Amino acid sequence: MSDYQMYIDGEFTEAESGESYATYNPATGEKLADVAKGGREDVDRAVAAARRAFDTGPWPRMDVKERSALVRQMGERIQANMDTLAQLEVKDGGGTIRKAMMGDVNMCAGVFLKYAEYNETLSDVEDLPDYSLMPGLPGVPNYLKYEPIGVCGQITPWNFPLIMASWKMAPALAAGNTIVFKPASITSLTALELARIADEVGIPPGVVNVVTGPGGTVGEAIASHPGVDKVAFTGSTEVGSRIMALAAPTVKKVTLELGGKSAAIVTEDVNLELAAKGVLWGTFFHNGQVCESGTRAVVNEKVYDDLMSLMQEKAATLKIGDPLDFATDEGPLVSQAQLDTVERYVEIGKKEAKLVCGGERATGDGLDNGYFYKPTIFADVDNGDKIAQEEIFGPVLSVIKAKDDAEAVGIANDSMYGLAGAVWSNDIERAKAIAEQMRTGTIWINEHHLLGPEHPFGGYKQSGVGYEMGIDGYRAYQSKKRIHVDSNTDPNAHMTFSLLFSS
Amino acid sequence: MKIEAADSVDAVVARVREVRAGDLTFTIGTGCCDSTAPFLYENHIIGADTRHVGDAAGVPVWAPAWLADKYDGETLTIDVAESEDADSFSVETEFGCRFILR
Repeated sequence: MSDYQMYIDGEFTEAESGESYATYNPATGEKLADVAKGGREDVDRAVAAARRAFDTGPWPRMDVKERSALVRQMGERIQANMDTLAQLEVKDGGGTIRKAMMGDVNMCAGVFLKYAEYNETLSDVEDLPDYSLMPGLPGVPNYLKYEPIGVCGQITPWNFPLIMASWKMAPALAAGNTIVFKPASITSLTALELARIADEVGIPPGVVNVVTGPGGTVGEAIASHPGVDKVAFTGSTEVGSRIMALAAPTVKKVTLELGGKSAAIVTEDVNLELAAKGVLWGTFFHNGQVCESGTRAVVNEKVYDDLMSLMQEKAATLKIGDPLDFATDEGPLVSQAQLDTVERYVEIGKKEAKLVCGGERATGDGLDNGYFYKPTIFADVDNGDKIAQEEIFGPVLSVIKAKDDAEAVGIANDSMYGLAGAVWSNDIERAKAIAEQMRTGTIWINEHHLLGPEHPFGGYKQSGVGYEMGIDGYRAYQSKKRIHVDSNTDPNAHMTFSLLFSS
Repeated sequence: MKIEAADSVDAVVARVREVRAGDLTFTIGTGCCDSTAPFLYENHIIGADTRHVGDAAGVPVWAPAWLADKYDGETLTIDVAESEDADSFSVETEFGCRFILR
């Protein structure tokens, strides 16, 4: 029997094939648990359950207060289980315990609480104006009714398993949808814990379904299944594009949050201490395995040398070690595959630019069996270099020199991505002018990474489609229905009929 | 960019063909959480800005044109990494392995 079974139609269950796969602790390389390896037939079961729960079950029809109370209880239980969830998140996906407690569990719980609140406070009915092109038409009420979309397929990446699950599950559930959720194979455990919490608080069977297994079967089956009305995905641009193609034949609604190669622009008037710490925070948090990381620092040439020295100094102070130790700043990368990718790109970077720190695995002190890598900085990077254009998704910062703000903005925008960015400057008006010229969905001035459940998050260019979080993220799980109500039953009073009837 | 395939690719593609009757294509990704890796898809739509950069086990390999230009004059090899928790939408993940680029 698997240590972690899938959750379908209110039951924890093995895969129909009976197969399972092992998931590993990236800090030690040791096996952590066996997880059920789902396939297409398990997706069929999950979609059938979600379809039934949506089409005839209580969830979409439930009183708003009752439904939001259940979503709120999920948030409260997540918060109450912080220690267990944070430890499991770190053991399964790396990172650090500080990040897991203060970031992952906190935000995951907060997102559920926020969407419970939105469900209660945002009206699902809105008045619409009269017909302006038909002034002769007496006031005919017209209104919008927001309704849940239906069965939502949701697929998340391995970098922030709990947070990504909350961004998907909470708005979908609060708005009255049912879900078929697939976590990343290498970090599936905490999503299954969320399923357990949903079960415990009494969310009806079939509303929440979590199917674990590879994207090539489970993911593909969810994204193409005729019983699925919407697909939401966070992950690589390549897979996002594939999901759009798979969703196209049945015209599913699609929300995608994809890759980035975000720029952090540093002006010459900046407080250098702030910029040095800030650029490193923007790049090396969670080893750079963050879609909105500022992995290209675009630095004004007047402060370039001073900032480089300060950043090198500060990067050397980051403590790499046991991710469950509160004093650790950097835990392991998520997997051997990710470590291989980082090593490959660092070799490319050594040919393209100047390596000034890191550039190798962190070893010794119990690190040898884990996937630890030193924070790495490349200087004198050209924005056309591979390390500046391809998303490495690791602790690798490329520093690019710019002569002025206009050149910096041009460099920042010269990317297929447009997810996020930062401006580090003491002149806020100047920073805002720069921010407004950057073609990305989120920009921080003198900050990085800060996201809140009240704020919409989405990408320009090939970084995504639609928005998650905020009210937009709630409405993204609703369909709009316009209802025209004409109470005049006199057949001669309907001027529109004259378009057809001449007499 | 020119793409070649390691011998190990043949067996994996043959296994995929046993369960998929549609046209197969490789496309080269550009990063993020799936790494820069080859993706094997069935009946995939190839974009207009995509270039044919080689064949692997009889399957055409496509890459974004800008990426192909970045690797002008270089030859990269598609290989297979065994891993039972292999993920991404690439279809060989069904068999507990993942195509990689080196």
